Amino acid sequence: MKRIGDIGRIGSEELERIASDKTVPAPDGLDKKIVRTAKVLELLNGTQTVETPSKRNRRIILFPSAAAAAAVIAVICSLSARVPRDTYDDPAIALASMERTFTYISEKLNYGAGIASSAEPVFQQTINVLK
Amino acid sequence: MTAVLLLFAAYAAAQDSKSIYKKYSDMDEVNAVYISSSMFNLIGKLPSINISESTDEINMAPLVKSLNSMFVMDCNDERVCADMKKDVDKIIDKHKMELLMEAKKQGETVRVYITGNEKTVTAFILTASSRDGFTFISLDGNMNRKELEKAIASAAESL
Repeated sequence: MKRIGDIGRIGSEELERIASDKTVPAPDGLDKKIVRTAKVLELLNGTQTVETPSKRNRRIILFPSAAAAAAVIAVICSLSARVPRDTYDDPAIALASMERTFTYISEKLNYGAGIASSAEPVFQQTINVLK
Repeated sequence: MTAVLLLFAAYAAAQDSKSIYKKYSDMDEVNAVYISSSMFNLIGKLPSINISESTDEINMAPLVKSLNSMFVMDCNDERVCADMKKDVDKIIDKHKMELLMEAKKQGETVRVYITGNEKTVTAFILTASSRDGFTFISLDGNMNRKELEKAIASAAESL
């Protein structure tokens, strides 16, 4: 069996002759070693993407963010689906309701105006006294 | 810029009124009415609304065009009324609405709040609370202040 040092001393022509000699058996598992070495070389040259810790972290962060975004969208959709429905289908009835509401509002505003006007003589009396 | 801010404030107030409506309108103790902007569009197309412009009836035509929503809620349950009043007070505080009027008579307190400027009212809220119940009226839109006052005054004449 040749040692590594001996191989270094062999000329290229002699190495080619030995390699092409099919009677010499290849060592067991050499093909796997070649594939593994090729992969290592690819990694070193950067031809294959490697999942670095930062990428893994990004994925860990992105997944819950996407889930949260989906949840927010679902909530918004459910809320928008709950838009109140018009109480009346008939615009004439809606108008009548609107008029009733305005009558109620003016009733209540008159309430305030009535209290103010009833207090007016008292204000006037106070002003007269002050004069 | 002011107009945009006013519109945004009106939109925000309308959203809050809507959320109160959603919360209470389905309750048995509450009577509720909601009129949307689409319905106001339909009301504006009614032939009768244009007739009232030339009569002594309440003239709603100019207001209808400027309203976006109207919420009316009336409750008679003490606990529900207290909760509703608390939520309405939150809207009023949140949007820093101006107290236009407050009247107290025979155990009833009426308050009117508005948001807007000298020409336009973007939000109008009326609350009436007494031992018997609580009433909440909310109008949102881009209402001409004079038209709103006129509609209220003509409603008073029809009493």
